Amino acid sequence: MIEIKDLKKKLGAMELNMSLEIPEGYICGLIGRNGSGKTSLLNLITGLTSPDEGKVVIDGLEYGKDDKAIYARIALVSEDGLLDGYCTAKENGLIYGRYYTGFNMTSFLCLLNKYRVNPNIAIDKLSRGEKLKVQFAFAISTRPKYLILDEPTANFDPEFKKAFHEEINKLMSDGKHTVIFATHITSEIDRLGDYLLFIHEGKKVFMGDLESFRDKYKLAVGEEFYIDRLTKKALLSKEVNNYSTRAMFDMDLINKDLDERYMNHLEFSPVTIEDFMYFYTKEAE
Amino acid sequence: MKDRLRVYLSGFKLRKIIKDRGIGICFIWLIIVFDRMNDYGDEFFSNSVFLGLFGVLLPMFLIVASMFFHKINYDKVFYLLPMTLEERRKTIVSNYLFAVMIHLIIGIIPLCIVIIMARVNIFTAAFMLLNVIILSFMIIPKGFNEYVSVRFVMVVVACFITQLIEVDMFYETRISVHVFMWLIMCIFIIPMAYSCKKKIIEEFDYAMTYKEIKKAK
Repeated sequence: MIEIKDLKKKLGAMELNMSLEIPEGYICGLIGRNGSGKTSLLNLITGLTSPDEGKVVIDGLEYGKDDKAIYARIALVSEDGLLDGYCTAKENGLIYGRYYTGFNMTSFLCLLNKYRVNPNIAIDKLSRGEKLKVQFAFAISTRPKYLILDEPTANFDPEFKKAFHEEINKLMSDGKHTVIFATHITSEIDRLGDYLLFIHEGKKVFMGDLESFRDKYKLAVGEEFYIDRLTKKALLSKEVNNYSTRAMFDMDLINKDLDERYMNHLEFSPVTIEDFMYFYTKEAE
Repeated sequence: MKDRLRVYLSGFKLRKIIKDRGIGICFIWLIIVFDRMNDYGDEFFSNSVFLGLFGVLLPMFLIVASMFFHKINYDKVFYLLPMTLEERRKTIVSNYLFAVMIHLIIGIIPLCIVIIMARVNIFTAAFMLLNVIILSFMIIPKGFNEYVSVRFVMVVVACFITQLIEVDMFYETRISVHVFMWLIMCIFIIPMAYSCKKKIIEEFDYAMTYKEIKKAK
């Protein structure tokens, strides 16, 4: 399990400030708009950045004391190049793979072959998508317990996306692995995710399983008159247009006894992650 | 050993050499060769000039090229490898020492052959040997494109110029000239190289953690 305890990190004008636990054996989607602190949070989880306060604990292990054990469990795939750009994928595998006990060079080369990436071309000469494929193949070949992906799918072609989903499902099949997955493509989380972590301006807005997310947040469509009569504090955001009004509600705060007569005039549906992001950031602004 | 050699050789990528303007270093050597050809004409292929250029200066150029392409800092992936801080430091230091060992092999073996073949005087031989040893330990801390310590550049330039002078002094008998050269060595090159040693050791500690952590500190 990854535990983030009272973590504080100053990021320019913003401060990343949160505590949370990411359970083992699930895929956790991390969303938030640009500059909300997603990559910084992943850098803190991978120990590439140190927090100002608080700590990151992975399986009871802490950075500074148990680095070797932690890094043997995690693998990062990031948009900004991780591997040595002047070396080929094969050379990177030979140079860095030997540090991992579970690394399998044959499986690394097989994956590259499957993804149609030439292992004998310098990383810097590959396209952005191919670079990510190499990183992903390398990460998978190290057999990590925690696979951390920082916006990986944006540059993937549809064919590779399918292979990517297959590989993730294969990795998750034993229930012992965890994937943390920052993305803007919310449909990816709808498709793959079990848990959702939504952050805004460095703060945690929602952390929980997708089912409870869909139960907790609902989108109401109907006349503004009825929307305005529902419990005020349950209303998170409202959008009025010529024909109808759409509003996002926190259903835990709705007073069912009082609001039921108005609710019958509205159409409620589970909010999509995309709508949630849209309404939340609109309201926050 | 094989892995260390692989890491070392990965520094010599043609694209990297071109991008890091390292190709310029090789051109300087060619300019010196052509200059000497002009100066000496038919005598160019006489033992001392030819041996000096190929046995002393060419290895020095190779060492300088190598020191620019083997920075002590590493790529992001290095900081995600399963290692303790101590192991990471050990890897950084041993990769550095491996590069130094290669530099010494490249520099000293041809130099010894030149010294024996050309029967170089003892002062010049010792001077050139010391120059190669000093240069072998100089590895630019943060790569050619980033901030390069002025001291490092001064040591490299001083080693080079003095070595260039010494190549013409294989049979020099005037003791005053040797004394002057050794004064430069003792007053300038050795103290500067010693101060660079401190910087290299600092760099080992600096390279142990990823730069974003360093920035935060």
